Amino acid sequence: MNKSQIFSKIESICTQIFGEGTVITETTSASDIEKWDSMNHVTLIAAIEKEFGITFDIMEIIGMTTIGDFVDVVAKKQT
Amino acid sequence: MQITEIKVAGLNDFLEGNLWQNLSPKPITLLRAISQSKNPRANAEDVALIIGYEDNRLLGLVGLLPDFIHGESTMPTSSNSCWWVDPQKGKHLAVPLFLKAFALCKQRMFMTDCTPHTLQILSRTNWFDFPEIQSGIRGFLKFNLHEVIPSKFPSTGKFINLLKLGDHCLNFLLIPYLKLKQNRFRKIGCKVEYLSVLNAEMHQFIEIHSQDEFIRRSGIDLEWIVQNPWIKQLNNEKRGALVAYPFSHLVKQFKQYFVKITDSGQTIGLVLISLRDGHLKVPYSYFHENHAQQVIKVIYRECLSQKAVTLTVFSPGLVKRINTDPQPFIFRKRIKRLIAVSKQLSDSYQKYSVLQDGDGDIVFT
Repeated sequence: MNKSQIFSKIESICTQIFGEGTVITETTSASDIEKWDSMNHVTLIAAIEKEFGITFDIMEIIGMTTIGDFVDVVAKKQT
Repeated sequence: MQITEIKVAGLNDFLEGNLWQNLSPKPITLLRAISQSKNPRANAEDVALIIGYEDNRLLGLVGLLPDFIHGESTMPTSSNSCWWVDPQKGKHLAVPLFLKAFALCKQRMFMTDCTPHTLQILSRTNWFDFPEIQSGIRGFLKFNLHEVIPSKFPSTGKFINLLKLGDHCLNFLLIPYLKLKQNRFRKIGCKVEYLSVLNAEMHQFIEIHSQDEFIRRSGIDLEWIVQNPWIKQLNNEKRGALVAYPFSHLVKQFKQYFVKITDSGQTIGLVLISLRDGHLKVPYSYFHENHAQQVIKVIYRECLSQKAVTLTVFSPGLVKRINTDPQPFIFRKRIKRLIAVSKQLSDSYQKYSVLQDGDGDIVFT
């Protein structure tokens, strides 16, 4: 799966969590989305883990602040 | 934005440095820092605080209180003592700060009084177990509508003076009834002694009566707690001049003291009493089950002599006596406490599953 496909899947997950019409780009972070609070942050992590069949470690989660970061880590874990 | 961790050994320097001086709100109070730096269960390299900030604005913080499981220095752990983010600018920091703290204590973390919201967040991480909900009792010795109603319905806060008047009237009308009902609890049939320090006999008594405890505090730990509180009793005039801090740390009334209970010359119990703004708690209690009835009578008498508004107890032995024996309350309600234990500590918790009311950081607040 290439990064573009990974982004599309994460974008779809974000829409489910943060609501229809939420604009998602690679640089989108919590500060851009009103509904991105601590609860939705862990929900997003859990949903991505489930979707891609992977598990993030703590240091990876700490380092992922933008959607682009999530895409990069998922891509890295799939290779 | 920067994230910084402060170790136990670095707390004093942190308080004297420019960062603490300039940050608003403050990430730690002087009292908490002093207390943490004297923690007998902490190593100099243990992390006590992780903060996120931008310029001079504090955006978030997570506090850790280093501890030992079952009092064993070979089984270190930490309780999460606070978790706060700035509601406007810090919400993205909540999870990363917490996870950084979790990683720094090697995923050996527990919490003894989670909010349902925190529990919900933790449950999605898959790193924590959630043992059974602890059931306790809150008994009311007086009407206290001006605190109870606004806490449940914040919009009623504007009627606080009216509610205070209501409490005053109801409590006044009930004086004859309460005197009749509560006077019998002033006679306890055993001897009590108030202590500020614990002698060798008390240290041993604690050790004998704490065999199954998860944290298992020693007499030294308890003395450190009483001598290094996180809460300060302050009169109204001084409040305005004090620093902003995200958690309550200044109250009208706060005291903690030990009560030794003896019967026929034999020590039958030791309790640590905590009184905060009229609310009495028993963070630590040591007694044999056979003496629970005498111990709860002593606690009732403390409630009455301290003019306490409520008594809150989670100790199963004491809760059982409250439920079965006569008690001095106008009414009482069941309360619950949510506990989270990281999976790294699950085996230890299964082995030693007894928690005292004050374990974690509860005894300090």
